[in-house]
This record gives sequence, structure tokens and C-alpha cells, in this order.
Amino acid sequence: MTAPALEARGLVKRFPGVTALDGVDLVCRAGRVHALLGENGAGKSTLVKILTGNQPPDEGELRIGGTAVRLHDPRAALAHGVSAVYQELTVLPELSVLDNVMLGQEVSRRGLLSRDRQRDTARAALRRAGLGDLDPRTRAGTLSAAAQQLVEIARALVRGSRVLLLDEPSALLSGEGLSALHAVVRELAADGVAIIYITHRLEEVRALADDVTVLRDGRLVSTGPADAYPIDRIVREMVGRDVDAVFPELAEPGAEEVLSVRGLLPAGPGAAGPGLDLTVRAGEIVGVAGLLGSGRSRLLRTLAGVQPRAAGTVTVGGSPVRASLHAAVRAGVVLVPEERKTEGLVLDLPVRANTTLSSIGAVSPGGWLSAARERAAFEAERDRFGIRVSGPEQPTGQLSGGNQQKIVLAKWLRTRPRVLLLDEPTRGIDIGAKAEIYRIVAGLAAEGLAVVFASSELPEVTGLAHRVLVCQGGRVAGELTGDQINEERIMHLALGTSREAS
Amino acid sequence: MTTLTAGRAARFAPAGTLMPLSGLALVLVAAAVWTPGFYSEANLRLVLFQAGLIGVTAVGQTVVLLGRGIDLSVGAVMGLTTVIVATQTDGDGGKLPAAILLAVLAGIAIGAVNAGLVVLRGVPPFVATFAVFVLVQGAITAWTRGAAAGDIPHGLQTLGSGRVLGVPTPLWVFAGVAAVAAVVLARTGAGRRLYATGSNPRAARLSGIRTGRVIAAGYIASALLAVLAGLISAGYAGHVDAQLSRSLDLNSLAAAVIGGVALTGGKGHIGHTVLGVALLAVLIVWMLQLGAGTGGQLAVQGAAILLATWLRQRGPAAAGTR
Repeated sequence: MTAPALEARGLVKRFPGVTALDGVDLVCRAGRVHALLGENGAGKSTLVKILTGNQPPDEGELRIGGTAVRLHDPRAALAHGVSAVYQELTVLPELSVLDNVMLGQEVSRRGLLSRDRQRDTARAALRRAGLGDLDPRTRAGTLSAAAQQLVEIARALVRGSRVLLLDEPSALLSGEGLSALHAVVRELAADGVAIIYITHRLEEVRALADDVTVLRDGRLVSTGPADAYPIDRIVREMVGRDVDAVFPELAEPGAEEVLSVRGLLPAGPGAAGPGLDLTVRAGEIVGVAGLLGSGRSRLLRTLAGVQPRAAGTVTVGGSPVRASLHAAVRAGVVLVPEERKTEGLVLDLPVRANTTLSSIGAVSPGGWLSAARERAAFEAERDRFGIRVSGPEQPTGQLSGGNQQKIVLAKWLRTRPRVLLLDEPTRGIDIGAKAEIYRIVAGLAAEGLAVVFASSELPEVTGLAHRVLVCQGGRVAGELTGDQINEERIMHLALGTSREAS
Repeated sequence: MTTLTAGRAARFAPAGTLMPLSGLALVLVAAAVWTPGFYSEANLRLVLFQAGLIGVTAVGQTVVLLGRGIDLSVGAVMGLTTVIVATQTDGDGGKLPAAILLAVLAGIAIGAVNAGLVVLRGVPPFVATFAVFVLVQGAITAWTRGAAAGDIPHGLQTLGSGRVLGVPTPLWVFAGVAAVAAVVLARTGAGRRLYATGSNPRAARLSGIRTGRVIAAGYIASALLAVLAGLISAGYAGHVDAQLSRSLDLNSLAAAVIGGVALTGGKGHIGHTVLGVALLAVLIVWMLQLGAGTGGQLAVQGAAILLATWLRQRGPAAAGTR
């Protein structure tokens, strides 16, 4: 048997406070499609970064074609025939397909681009990428997402890749685009390229993969031929982890309907369909699950008036709320955004100023900012949430993620909201602070706040919600309550592999 | 108690004033050494007048800069004000109130156009206010056929060239404007909203601050202060000629930036601006005394801005924060 095209042994990558990869092995053979699976945060992207030379591993060794290599930078990876195509398209829309394919690999003679040779090379690559009929002079921006994805693959082929990493190439595709991509991937494998295929769509595993590797929490769970991986096994291995006392007891929700949403449709490409109906009672916590790009965030941001609505009505306590951020805030609908540092806080301002950022009027009687009132407001919130700061003047940027998130929560709670929307409430927060945030959210609900939160972390969704909505492809694929809430059912709904999808 | 005093001290001598302060000292000493006549009474009065004139616009510029903007239309508004007063009154004091009202309305309109372009259309402030500058200058030239003429009423001349307690009136005006601005910025909700908006417009907006209104108020304030400076300048000259305020007047920007107000928004205090104004005024008068023409003055100003911004950057890593 020949040496594997790519062989990684015992890869370890540590970041401050977290071990992203903990002794992971990966063996990819020429001519085979290797599906790399795992939840968000399982370590897939770290692995990709190591294999493409974007990050050096702390431990472990890497062999390409049987030879031990060290990939110090992306150029070294390319030189060894390893290249990657990412989910986010990096096609330059203003350039031609030809220029995009040849990007970074321009063939020049005496300092001038050699057009003929460029065109020939690009044509050959485009043909292998299934774009043989495409005029290379076409402006890349006019192509569909699927075709742009194939242009990226052609770009990798020009570089003579023997190992091709495809990081969620299908995330933006459906129908014909997806079959075209699959055909190209099979073709390339038949040509002897080793392909690492990352996807959240498990049906692709059966359609495409020869081998499977499952990661969880930075560790290798299992690896083997795809035949041995029915979807049930994959789901179980991806999510199977213990969830214990991290989550607080949830109080029973009240009877009053606080938030009522009818036919809500976020504006944007592909805004169609029946829209979302949702009623949230006082004291109820609704979790919104779904994969990246499934529309979780968009749903919350539309509710908060941050993004425009295409259709639908939102009422709070029986009064309709117009589709604007200020109308939402006035009605008591507030958003704790996913991007805490850029959207939630003004990091340069001291913590006291961020605590009152949404209620400046309340601490400025007659327009005069009262230092005493602001200090009192800050101290009240600090004590209520146990925010660890050196003092009211500490710049907010110096706080830990958990304490920053508490300031964002405090900022909004000073406006006495009725509906609290949380987008990825614990992203980038260590486990201890996570538990604190869960306790705070559960406590706020017990005080009568209606809570809707979106999360990519399944344990969070199952552990903190009275009720779960699962988004898939921009719409709600299903709703789970009570005993129905478990990670496997959520995963099936999110992946569209559920037999019970409504 | 200690933190309170420290906080209070910080308010009166904000961080980052060391550089403009030492710059000012350096220039004052250099002027004394090389130009003996610099400390004559008449010359010092000229410095104070310059400081007053520049200072009024620099306060407006500071407000715009704090909101992450820039106002290049200041010089045009000053020029327009002078031309309005000269043509509408031609020295007749009775017509002065109407002329001032007209100039104020024009200022509000120009500030509103700047704000509209920046807030509603998302035009980069540099481009928006530069286009408005060109537009207004063009309009002035077309209106006056390039040869503005007319006298300035005597009432206005007291504003421009009068003295109170031996100090030129414009400096008193600047002192008043700066004091009001300092209080508004440090002690009101409006000031807090401006700092939040300039530091992180996204977070400020998502926190429920009406950032568009905050930014618009800044441009209108800047335009109104430019009108005030235009009145001072008209009163000082006593008449209008075609050369007056025909340049892209960047003194307000230079003063604020030299003093330490950040071009990136949300950072800076009126104290910075006052220092920058003092430094720039001394520099300009000294240059005049040395016989440098307009070109030389501009070059020195440009060099001062470059030096100030260069000293403030901590290298490429600090500059590349996104």
C-alpha cells in the first residue's frame, strides 16, 4: 500500500484557556473523499488551519506523501500540494474568471502576463472543475454561488493540489449546484486527488464520502470507512456529551403572552414563504437552534428591528411594534448581539458608561449627566450580576468575556425591557462564566421577562430553553417542547434528515 | 477620595496633553530666541486674535471629529458669511441683524447638507464636506463674479478688532465657546452620546442611541461656529475683498489634531483643542514675523499636523485595528 497522501498524527493545538485540538489523527488517501465531521467548536477549523499552514501545531507530526513536513505558512502548504476552498467565497467579483483562477499563480514572461499560457492553464483547470463551457473572460461576480465555488476549486487545481480541503463548500448550494459540486468532487477523486470534505449536511456523507472522521471537543471520536457510519451514529458521536449541573432549574412560565409574532419574514435574498409565527409568554425561554447560515441570527435581528422585515407583525403586550430599532427598544424588545465587542459595547468607554449606554436619559435629568446617578446605576448592576471590575472607571475592553456580557445585559436591563433577545449569549465565554450567564437568564425569566435566544451550541439550547425552534435554510423547520427537546432531534431537524419535520 | 481627585485632575489636564504642551513651550522659546520682537505687545495681541479666530472653528471641528467625522467646509462657510454681511449691508449697521440671520440660516443649511450626505447616504465625511466646500466656494465666486465688494458695519468691527481688558474680543468669544463646549461634552447626556457614537457607532446605534441625530448636530454646530468665525473675520478686516477666505481653511482641523483630538473619533477633549489652538496661533504669527508667505505658513502647518499624528501612532499594529 502506498503512503497516504496526507497523514497527521497526534496533533495538539492549545490556545489560552482552551485546547482546540487534543491529539487528533487524520489519514487521507489519494483518490478518496474523506468527510470531516463535528459540531461548531469541535476543532475542525483549527485542523484546517494547521493543514493549510495558517497555524503551526503545538505537537504532532504531519506527513505528505509519506514525507514528514512542517508547514510554517500557507505558501509552504501550497508548495506541498495542499490547498483549501472555504465556505466564504473569496472570488473577486470584479475580475474575470480567468484572472480569478490564476490569482497568485500568474504566468508571466519578462514581467508581462503571458495571456495565451494563462488562458490554456485556466481552461484546463476549469474543465476539470466542471466549468469547461464557461468563457474565461466572464466577470466572476455574474456567476452563481455554485459556479463561484467551482471557480475556487479550479484555482486550487491550477496550484497542482494533491490534497484539497473543502470547508463547507455546500453551505450555500442546493439542487443543481450541489450535484454539480458532487460530480466535480468525485471526478477529482478519480483523478487521484485526496479530498477532505467538511460539511454539516450529513446526507452528503452517504452520497460522497469514502471515509469519515468525527471530532468532538478537539478530540478524535472515531474514524473509519463511510459504510460504517449511518447518520444516527454520526449524530450520536457528534453531540454525545454530558450536560450536568451547568444549567439551572427553569421556573414555570407565566400565562401572559408578552411577545406575539405573526408571519415574520426577514428581508433579504430569498425572502419568501409563510414566515414565522411565535408567541412567547412572560417567564418563558425559547431557544432557536440551527446550523450556521440557517437564519437564527437574522430572525433575532429582525425581531429587534436591526434588520428590516419583508413581512409580518410583531406585537408586545398587545401593541404592534414598527420595524425599527428604536420602536423595538421603546416597546421593550432588546437584543444582546452576537458580536459583543463591536455591537454590544463601546470598549473605549469605562464600564460605568457602558452600563448606562442605553439609558443615558435616565441618568441625565434635564440633560445634565449626573455622575452620582451613573455611579449608583453601575454599582447596582455590579452587585446584582456579580460583575468583576476594578472600579467604575475601568475601560470595558479590559474585562473578560463573561463580565463584558454581563455589562451588555445590565445595559439593557436598565431600560426595563419586556423581551430579551440573546444571540449566542455565551460565545467566547469560559464554562464557569457560561453557567453564571445561564443562571442570570433563568433568573430574569423567573422575574417575568420573555426570553428568546439563538445558539449554535446544542447543550445550551437543550439545557436552557422551555421550548426550541429549529431553523433550517432560512425558515423554521420544527418546534420542540418539553421531553421532545434533545440534541439528536434538534440535529435531525437542523440537517433536514428528520422524519418528523413539520 | 484619591480616585475622585485623580478624576478631577484628569478632567482639567486630560491625558495626552504632554505633547502639545511641550510643543507649545518649544515654539515659544524658539520664537523668543530667534525673533526678539515676538514678545512685543502688538505681536502678542495678534497671537491672541489668531487664537480666538481659529479657536472658534476648532471647537466645532472637535465636535465633528469626536463623532468620527471631519468638516472641510469650515473655510467656505466663513467666506460665505463675510460675503453675505458685506453685500447685504455694505456698511449699514441697521441691516446687520437681517444679514446675520441670513448667514446663520445659510450655516444651518450647509451643516444640514453635510449631515444629510454623511448620515442618510453614508458618504464618507471627507468627500461630503469637501464637495460642499467646493460647491459653496463656487457659488460665492459665481454670485460675486469673483469680485466681492462691500463694507462691514461698524458694529461688527468691535467683534473683530475690539478689546476687552486689553485682550482682543475674539479670544473672549473663543473662551466662552470653549467653556460651553467643555461642559456639554463632559457633563451632559448629549456629550456622552457623542463620545459613544464616535468610539463605536455600531454599538452606540444598537444600544438605542440615535447616532444620526448626534452626528447631524455636530455638523450643524460646526457650521454655526464657522458663521461666528466668519463674522469675527469680517469685523476684523472691515471690508471684503476677493482674496478673503478663498482657501481651504484647515486651521480648525490642524488645531484640533495638533492638540490631540483623534481623527478616528471618540477620543479628545476641549482641553486638547485649546492647546492645539494656542500652538497653531503662535506658529502662524511667528511665521508671519519671519516673513514666510502663505505657502510657507501652509507648509509649516502641514508639517505640524504630520508630526502630531505621527507621534500619536504607536506603529502599524495600533493603526490597523478593525
